Amino acid sequence: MPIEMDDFVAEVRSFLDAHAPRRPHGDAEVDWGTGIDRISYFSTDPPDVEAENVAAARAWQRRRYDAGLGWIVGPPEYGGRGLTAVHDMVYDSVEAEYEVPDTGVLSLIGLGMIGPTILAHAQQQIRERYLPAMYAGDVIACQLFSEPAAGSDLAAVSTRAVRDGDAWVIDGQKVWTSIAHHAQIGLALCRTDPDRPKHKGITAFLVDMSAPGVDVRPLRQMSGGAEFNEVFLTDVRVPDEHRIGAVNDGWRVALTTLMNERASVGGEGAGPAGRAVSLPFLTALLKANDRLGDAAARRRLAELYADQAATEYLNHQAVRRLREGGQPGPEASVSKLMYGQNLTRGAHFAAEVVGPRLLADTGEWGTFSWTELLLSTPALRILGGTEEIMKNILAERVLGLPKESGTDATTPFRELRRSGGTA
Amino acid sequence: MSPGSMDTATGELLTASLRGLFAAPASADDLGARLADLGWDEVLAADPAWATTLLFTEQGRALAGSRALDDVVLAALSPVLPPAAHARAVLHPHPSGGAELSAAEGPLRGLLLAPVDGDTEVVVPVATGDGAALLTLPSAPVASRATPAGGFDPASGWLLVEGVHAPSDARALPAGAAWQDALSAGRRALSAEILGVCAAALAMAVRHTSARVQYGRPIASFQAVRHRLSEAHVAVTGARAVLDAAWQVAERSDAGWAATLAKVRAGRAQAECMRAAVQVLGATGLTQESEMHRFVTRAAALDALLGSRQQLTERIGTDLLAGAAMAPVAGI
Repeated sequence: MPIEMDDFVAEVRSFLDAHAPRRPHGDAEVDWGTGIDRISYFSTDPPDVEAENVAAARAWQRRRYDAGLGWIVGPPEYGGRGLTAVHDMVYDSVEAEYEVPDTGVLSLIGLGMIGPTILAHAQQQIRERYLPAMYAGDVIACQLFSEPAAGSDLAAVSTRAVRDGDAWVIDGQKVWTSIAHHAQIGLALCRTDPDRPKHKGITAFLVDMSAPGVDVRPLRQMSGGAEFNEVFLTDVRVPDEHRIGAVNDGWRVALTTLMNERASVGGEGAGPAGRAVSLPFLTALLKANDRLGDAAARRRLAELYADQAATEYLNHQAVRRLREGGQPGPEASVSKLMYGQNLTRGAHFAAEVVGPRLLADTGEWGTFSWTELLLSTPALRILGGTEEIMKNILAERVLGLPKESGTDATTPFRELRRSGGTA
Repeated sequence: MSPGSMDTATGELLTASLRGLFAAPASADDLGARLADLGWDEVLAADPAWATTLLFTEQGRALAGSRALDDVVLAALSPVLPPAAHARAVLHPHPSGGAELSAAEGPLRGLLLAPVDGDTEVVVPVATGDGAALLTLPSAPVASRATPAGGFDPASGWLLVEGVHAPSDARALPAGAAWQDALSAGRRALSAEILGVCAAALAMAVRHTSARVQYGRPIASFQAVRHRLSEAHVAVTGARAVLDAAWQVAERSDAGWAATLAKVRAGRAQAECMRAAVQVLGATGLTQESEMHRFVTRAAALDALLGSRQQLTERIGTDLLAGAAMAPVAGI
């Protein structure tokens, strides 16, 4: 049933008015020196606070779902609303005016990447079982892709899946798995035929994260948090109906997930790290540090502004293309590159203004708090595909440059030289 | 940018016609006549954003010169200028002063895109105590003080004008907001032209590195080379996005701000793109044997018109710190 945009906006507003307070003022106003002194990209909350945040995220997603707003673009037979990406954008922009729980733990990976992958490649009974549960906030999904010996070269995964009757037995190790410690399911890429070339012997499975043999261990980052995990899979039994896509066709499944990932990382909204590229905030930083007369700082501020405008508008165009029925394509790599660079430049700009006060927590507002972001920005140039991989994608798929030499795409996986997995 | 009100086939046809038009050598005035034959005015009226961007992109790609920028500026000034009795040209602000105008009382200086003579009137934006104003001078006193700009890009055909004194009866018409509109329109056009030059240079670098073999393989298969070119592509794509955004707000009060930002981003894109393109051509790229030097010099010369990236970056930074409204360019 088509719905007029005005009616949709009215519906969204009445939902939000009933369940959430409005934000006190717009983001443009900065009260320097007041409020929480925290600028981070990754969560560094203690476990109890993190658990509360996850519970709040689930509850809010459930509210949205019950109101028919949990999966605005999804097909109605799986709990979606069947509306367009424009409705989705409109919802986000209206919701931004309200104080609501951050649902990133559900949306960034599960709803943004795994959901679309299940929809595109899973059997109907798996779609019916998991999609409504995911978009209702009951099931959190993670991405079991990278391995110690398969990072940028993701198609080199060596976690094995061996058929055993009507099930598969999985053995191996995954790494850099965001939110695995909160997830109920994980999408795993496994080697099912080592005698075929690397891209052609992979199969995707949906793994129950509470199954015997699944062991999740946190990895602490230099910025202090432990957002990522190692996941050890030892004799984990997965029923064949949890296979996503055909046997040995897992690379195609992975590409669906990865395209949505680049679109999601490059198109991220402000969040707490948004401050690093928030011009009002950086301007307030210069003022508070008495640097208004500094010509070099002034020029860099303007450059940051121009870069940010470019990234925002590129994302805007990408959404417009999606809305016209397109798929996320290689241009998502441009956004991802620019987003990582903007945040890095913003953090470095702040670090230079703050100077040595960055190194010791003296209690002075807006100084030491930049440390966490500064130590997190390298991650943005790595996660979701490193900058080097993004540039290779652009070189081949947009500029049409010849492929790098190498025979690993045609050699049986078993015969490839592989890294031992240690640095 | 895709044609808004035009179908794809018409768009492609016009693009092909423009390429053909710019491919044949011609003087700036001949190009104007050929555009008129093509019915360009109608195309422009139907979809100004698409048409202007296409025209200037192709002019940049072909390294051509025309009076098209005069036309863009004059169109924006038309609300305050009397109807033209003769052909008109514009004395653009002298590049060494950015977008700074000569004082109305003279001496006047500036830049001409092409020689002026005969009946042609020269419109000169000037600064008065009450803001920008427009003087309209006969061609002779301007032409007599014009010398080829030469310098970095002698092929531009531009002329620098110094020391012109307006006749004592010349009256400066207050330009109001029209001069700011003209600057914005000119900056959007120049941004497209710069990005056209970049596209051609990048295409040349792609061709060269795909064909040039060292160590038994095309040099474009080495990451050191391909990553440079990808970075150049990212710079150009980002600049094009800002230019599209500037067109989206062209009728709004923040049009000037967005056009300035587009020019800054295009200026930076050309600097990054040319550095990469020259490097991957190796020593050949440094010689006049290669066409690359023409892209490098033209892009830099265009960057200097109506405010260089350095001058405009300084301007934006100053405005930001003075509390300028930070127009949400993407929030359209």
